[in-house]
Amino acid sequence: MVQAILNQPIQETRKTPLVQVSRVSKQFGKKRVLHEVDLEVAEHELVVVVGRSGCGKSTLLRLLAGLETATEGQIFVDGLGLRGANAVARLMFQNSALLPWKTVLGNVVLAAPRTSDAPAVAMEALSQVGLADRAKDWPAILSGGQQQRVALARALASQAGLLLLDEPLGALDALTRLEMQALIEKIWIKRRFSIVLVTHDVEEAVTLGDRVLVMDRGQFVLEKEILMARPRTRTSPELVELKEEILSRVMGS
Amino acid sequence: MKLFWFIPTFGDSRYLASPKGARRTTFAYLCQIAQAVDELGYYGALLPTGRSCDDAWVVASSLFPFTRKMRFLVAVRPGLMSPTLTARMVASFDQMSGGRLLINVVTGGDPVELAGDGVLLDHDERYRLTDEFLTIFRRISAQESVDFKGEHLEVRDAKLLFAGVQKPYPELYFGGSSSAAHEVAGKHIDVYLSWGEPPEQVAEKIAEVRKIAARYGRAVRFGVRLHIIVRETEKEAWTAAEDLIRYVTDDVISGAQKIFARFDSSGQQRMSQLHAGKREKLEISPNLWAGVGLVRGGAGTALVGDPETVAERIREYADLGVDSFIFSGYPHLEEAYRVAELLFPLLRTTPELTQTSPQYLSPFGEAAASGASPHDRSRLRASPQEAR
Repeated sequence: MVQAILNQPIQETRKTPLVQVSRVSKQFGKKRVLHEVDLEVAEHELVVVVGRSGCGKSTLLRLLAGLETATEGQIFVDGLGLRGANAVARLMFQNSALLPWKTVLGNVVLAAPRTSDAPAVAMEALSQVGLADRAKDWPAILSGGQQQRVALARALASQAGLLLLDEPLGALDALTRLEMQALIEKIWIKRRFSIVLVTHDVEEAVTLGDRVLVMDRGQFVLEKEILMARPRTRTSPELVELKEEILSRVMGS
Repeated sequence: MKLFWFIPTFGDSRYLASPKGARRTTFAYLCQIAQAVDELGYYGALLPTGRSCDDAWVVASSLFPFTRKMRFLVAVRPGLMSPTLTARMVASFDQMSGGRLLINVVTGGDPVELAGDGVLLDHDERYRLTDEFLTIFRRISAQESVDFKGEHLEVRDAKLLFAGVQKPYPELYFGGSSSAAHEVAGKHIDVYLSWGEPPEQVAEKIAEVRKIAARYGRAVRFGVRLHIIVRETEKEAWTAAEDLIRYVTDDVISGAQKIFARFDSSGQQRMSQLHAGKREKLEISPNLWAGVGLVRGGAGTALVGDPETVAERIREYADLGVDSFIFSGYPHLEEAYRVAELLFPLLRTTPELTQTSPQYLSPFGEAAASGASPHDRSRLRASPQEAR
């Protein structure tokens, strides 16, 4: 039953995009960080936002999470204007933000729906990231990659329809990063939630994204749709060409 | 157990599909039925909706002032009514009637009629529209102001200023047999309704909807919509059933079936399949008779039998988890009385039904030759605590 819950695709066949960002601007004091941004995220879409530090991409993610309110414009989730925290979304950061005083399982259980099934749902999520055998361990003894996997399990256990990933792999070494990308992709394919991934790693962007958007000084300046089959071969000419195009746009800004 | 009757705003008669015994449903007549429903202690009554009925809101509004206790189960129509306007109408009726509105969410099953009303969506689109409608409606009713930008509906800063009596809104009833409908039911609805299909089929739908509701962390109650042909003996009941359709010709049946075939309603298809347009095998389940559905769309089955048997069949549905029953019978005034007389004593129902609460001694039962009343008058003595 629990297996069924976690492996079941999230509701599909709806034509309203899961998220609609409509002419959103965000200002902190005098500083305008986002300027009339439009974005739609469909069900089961993996959207990647790349850009230099300070371009506004993290702010966009925080707006999607409902942690900030737009200065102008609106965000609709499932059609409803977002007011306050986005109940449909979960945010993952570069730092796993696990509670050090709870075990691995304890951390994941917190995110599961509050039913008697919660521990089972949490264990199932841990299995999906390959850490079921570390359930009783304390987060402090896990590697960075493992901690991020627990953070991912936590997001899965919440059965969120939208995962917001803010450079989640930035603190990991190159090899772990590749493994984590594959894991995220695998789980996303199975569970069919939507992802908005913010990263500065252009190769990561083209490997994972259905669409890659380049943000520069608070606005989208380039959008590329990637229609290649998955998993993608890093060395394929098409992918390399996309990566170069995007990279030069990011660098050129 | 909550027992409803039915206000026949599309016409009433003694026989189906015949001008014989046909009855004009004037305000006076409908008011008689409403007052019967009210006095007899039914929980409430359903008013149908559609182009072949008088408008349910108008009729319900004209009737409630003449009743005291009964509730009115009135249809709201996604696609025809804005959710914000609906919330205002709901709150107003609820206030004016003293909290006696119940909401029936009707998506509609006849694409031809719907096109005439301006709804040109296919079956599944209509349910997505209903989902958007209910999302907006429920939030507005909970005193939130709502922005919504969906596939079918868009509202900006929608709000309800004056709430009704029942909070956050009167119970939402809803019927629909397709999986698109079940999804809406599990997500939004309080009481899921089914037409009178055989118990096993109803049980399947109940299980489906329960599963979907659990996904949303909700509990749903269940209701069944059925005609009743109950008489003191089994034989009389079956005679009455046959009588009801005695003027129905084969031509009328096939004409009606053609019309029902164009409905893209899953529930209508299920009803039509029960009798398959034929008179021969109309008892499709013990005491469940599909004769009405030969010529009537929507609720097409009736429970037929003597009081104990019919009560037993009703309890079978109750055992599946059904706590609400919407009954009707032809003609609707007389049968309201007959069902109350014969069935209410056998069914465990709301206290309203067992209380006679007179404030004065009124005649009860026919007095023989203006001498003695046939009944013990002591139980009719007014008690000081019973206030109107």
